[in-house]
Amino acid sequence: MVRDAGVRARRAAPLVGERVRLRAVEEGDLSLLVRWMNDPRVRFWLHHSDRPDATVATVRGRFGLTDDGFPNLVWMIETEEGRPMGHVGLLGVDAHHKRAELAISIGETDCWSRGYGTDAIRTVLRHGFETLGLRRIDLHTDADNARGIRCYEKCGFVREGVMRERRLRYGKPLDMVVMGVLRSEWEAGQH
Amino acid sequence: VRLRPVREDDLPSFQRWLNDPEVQLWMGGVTSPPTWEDELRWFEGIKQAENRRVWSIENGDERLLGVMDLRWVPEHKRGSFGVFIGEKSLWNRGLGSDTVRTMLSVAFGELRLERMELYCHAGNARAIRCYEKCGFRMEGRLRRHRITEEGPADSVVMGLLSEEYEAQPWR
Repeated sequence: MVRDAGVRARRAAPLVGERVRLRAVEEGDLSLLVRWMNDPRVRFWLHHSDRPDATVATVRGRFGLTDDGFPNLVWMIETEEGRPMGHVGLLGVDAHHKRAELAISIGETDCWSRGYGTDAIRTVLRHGFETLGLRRIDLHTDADNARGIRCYEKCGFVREGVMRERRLRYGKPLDMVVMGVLRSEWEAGQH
Repeated sequence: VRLRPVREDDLPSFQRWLNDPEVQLWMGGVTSPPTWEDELRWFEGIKQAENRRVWSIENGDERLLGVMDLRWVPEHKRGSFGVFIGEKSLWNRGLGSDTVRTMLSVAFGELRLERMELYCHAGNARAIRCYEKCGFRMEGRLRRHRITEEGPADSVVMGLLSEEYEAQPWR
């Protein structure tokens, strides 16, 4: 059952996946988020790699804890035991076009390549399409992020283009891939 | 054309143009006919915005033609823009191309950006031709990216790099 009106909801509702749990970001998460974002192994893949180091103040704004008009929904990703490992968001949630942009980062590097990200994304897609009434979810990712792209494809995203030299990573230009998944495709993929 | 800062007395024309379904159809960022309050809020917003420059487009007779809206992301040396010519009687005269080229000279010159990009309604052949004339290359097609009065529509994404800009014959 799709409730389009839910697109206006701004507070990230708690969600449960197969192996992860998602909950809204709280003030107490900020120092952990700062540590993750400044970890060189994580930062390499972040669109904000070339900004000054993250601080609690910059992260507080970026995660919407300062602004009621924040157009993003952001969740902390936790293991079933409640250990936070990263965050996932639906950014620029657009009630008119019924679309949003997915962003995800697993900050605890020992949790990479274990399927947590895939589970978190599938959980957010279900929420976006079924509860928020979105029609389309898209993302931009680094063209050399093979692990990420494979994961997005597993979740149903389709490559739609390559934006040449779209960002700088430590000063060097880098292509980005744009991918999208439609509600109709996602519904067809559910068993 | 000439690009100059937006003035408050431009707003009635903007509101009139954006209430025209034929103009609005192509504009992904304008999703309902703006009210006068919407116009005032937009005007206040652009005065305070960082990394954004919005101009009114005029012809040689100081007749108002439309709007050019340029934004950029400093750490990636990348910009994007939106533009429209609101006076429909002046469509198909190259005014859009002239406006885009004038904006590009600011983006790649004064601002020293390395890349410009845009998203456009995939069915807007006139606009796509204009962007191609200015050097932009097609980079992708976002399926059902927008909802218009006529239903869901694809968007295309186009990009232009600074070295490609430097090589343009019209420069």
